[in-house]
Amino acid sequence: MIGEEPSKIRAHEAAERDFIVRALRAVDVSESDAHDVADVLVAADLRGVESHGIARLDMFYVRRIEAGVVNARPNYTALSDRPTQFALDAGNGLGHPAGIFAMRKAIEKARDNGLAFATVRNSNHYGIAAYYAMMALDHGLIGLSMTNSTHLAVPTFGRQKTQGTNPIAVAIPAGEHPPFVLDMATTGVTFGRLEVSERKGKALKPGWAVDAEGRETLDPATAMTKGALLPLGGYGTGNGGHKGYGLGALVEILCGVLAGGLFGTSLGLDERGLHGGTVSHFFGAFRIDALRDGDAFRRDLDRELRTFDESTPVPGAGRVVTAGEPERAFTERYRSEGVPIDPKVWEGIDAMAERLRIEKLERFTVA
Amino acid sequence: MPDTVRVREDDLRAFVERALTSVGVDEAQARIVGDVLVAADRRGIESHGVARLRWFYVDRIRNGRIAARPSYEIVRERGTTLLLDAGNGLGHPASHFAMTRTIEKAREKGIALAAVRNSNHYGIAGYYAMMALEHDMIGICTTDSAHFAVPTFGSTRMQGTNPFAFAIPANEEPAFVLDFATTTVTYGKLEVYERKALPLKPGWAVDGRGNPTTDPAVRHTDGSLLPLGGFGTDSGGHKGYGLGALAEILTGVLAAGWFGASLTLEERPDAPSGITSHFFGAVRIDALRDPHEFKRDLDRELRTFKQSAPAPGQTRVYVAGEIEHENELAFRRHGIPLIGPVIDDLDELARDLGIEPVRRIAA
Repeated sequence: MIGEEPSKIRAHEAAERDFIVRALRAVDVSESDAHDVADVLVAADLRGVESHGIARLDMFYVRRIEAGVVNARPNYTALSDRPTQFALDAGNGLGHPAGIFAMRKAIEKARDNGLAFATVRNSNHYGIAAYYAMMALDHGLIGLSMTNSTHLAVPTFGRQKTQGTNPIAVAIPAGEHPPFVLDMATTGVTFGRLEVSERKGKALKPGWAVDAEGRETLDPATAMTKGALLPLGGYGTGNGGHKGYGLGALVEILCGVLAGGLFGTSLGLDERGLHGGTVSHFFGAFRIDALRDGDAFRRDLDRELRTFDESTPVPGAGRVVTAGEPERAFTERYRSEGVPIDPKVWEGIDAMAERLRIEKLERFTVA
Repeated sequence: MPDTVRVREDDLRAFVERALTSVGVDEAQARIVGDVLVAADRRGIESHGVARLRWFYVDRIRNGRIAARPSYEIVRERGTTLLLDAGNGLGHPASHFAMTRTIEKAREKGIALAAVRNSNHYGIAGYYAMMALEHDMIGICTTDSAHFAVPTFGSTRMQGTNPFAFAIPANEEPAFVLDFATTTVTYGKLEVYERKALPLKPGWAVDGRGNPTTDPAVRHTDGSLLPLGGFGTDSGGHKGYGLGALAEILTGVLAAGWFGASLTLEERPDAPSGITSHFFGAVRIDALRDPHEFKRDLDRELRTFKQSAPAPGQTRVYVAGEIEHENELAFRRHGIPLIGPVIDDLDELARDLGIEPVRRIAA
């Protein structure tokens, strides 16, 4: 989890991927779809975004398929298929294969026509937003990905949850410098951050959460049981909370409303509950050379990103980094050292393996 | 100092046109600038309205820093994209031109994007995004600017207030119009707090070494703005920094304009011009779903926010663009208020240029 030392009990990336495929195959997900999910979840764990990796396999995906609220074998319907736009109904299947399918469509269309957008409705939790935006990088394109989610956050000056953590991800290819990959929840922090504070017995920071009445609270238990997250920028408008709220609402509109999926009060669900088909996504891809020479752009972006890298840090801070760099460093490290998995998560996936009668995920311990 | 006066928007627009044509701007371009500046004042965004007419536009044209009669060059054009070199002209007409073309292209192809370089300050970002609304399109707009803000954990100014604007049409509800600086507050807010000698709020600014400060005189001690989310990463300052960097990449880098260290300039009257780049987008809703259904659904969505229960001590929950929309309704009826220093400045400008001053509404 964020803000904690990584677990010493590790799994190899390839073994983790195989295990996720085994689990999903056991509940009748197709081989190809299972690989898509595994790819996205392993990418999250490698990037240090543990909250969105294998930790969610059982509760968010396997159990919902077992309960019959998410379809293992969905039928996709193209609602609109134009030269620059694509709208998909994902048939209440898993979000990851639907996301990959739609993003591929956006990329194909962008290669032909310069740019393209795709929406997906009747889908489910799709893991990390960055994965789909980064799919564009292999093609030299700029990628965009957003999703709505069950509601966890209040609007500015409100006390009822009206939006999720609604992340926005943008990936832009550079030349020699690693790409710019911005992947941000539009809330100040994610729910996982509250959990970490509670586990450590630490107070929350101002700007993170409110209680049931919509008053700011620093108590993790109060925030988690009856309260809600605050938008990026915190409580009220003094520090720009209305901007984070606006961004979250934008994502809700571009996903739920534009995709023709669920939105508004119908998304006021327990994030961990048994429900399906609630989520919508939005994807985009954009050819750089439709505007300027691609190589010249990548060289200029190298210069731009290095300007940030090389700028003088605050006394006591390490250095200035650009978006995506910490996640890239984690990925390199965990590729060689193994993927850290929290002991509690190990318990959960071991129990799941027993329930599904599949081989457990092989583990090893680092010093 | 004169008191606040109220003016009709047509009179204010006509004044901007008079001022700009008197320094050599052609009528069509002057009209667009007038429309954008008056839209800012009418929406209650006084910092970006006629208060800037002299300093940002007229003076820079008079001292030759901005071209009054620029030549536009279309650097690259495809079915869905456009790159424009604005010839160091005023930012508003160049942006109006680019967004108009973007909307035309989106009508043909479903979506379109444009980038503009060698331009200048263009007023409120929301104006251009809102141009898409009457075409049942979603409008997108961003711009870079001279640098005022540090990156997360940095001490050197690396980006501007780099606003993003999104406009999305609804049916009965006013459109969703999100127009926000990617810094916590704008530079203008520091000026206001300095004048009032009030301490800044934490999360707004850093001193010259990059340490958080609440000193209202921070502008004079090499201080800088902080990205949305404030200092460090605890409250998401890295997200605001990332959004600001995204704006500069989509504008300066994508348009092959100025970016990085070359934008590290004070926004002074003698600052170099032509350094600003913009980015525009338009998306046809009906390529994805029926626009009438979409707009009705957006009404429902916006009402969900507006009708949600307020926190203790608060009266209501707003949606993006609602306050500005209410200002427009009120100011259209009662006239646009211009505070003493602003009307004073415009009167002085009228004398300087030998043009008729702004007509007031009789008290």
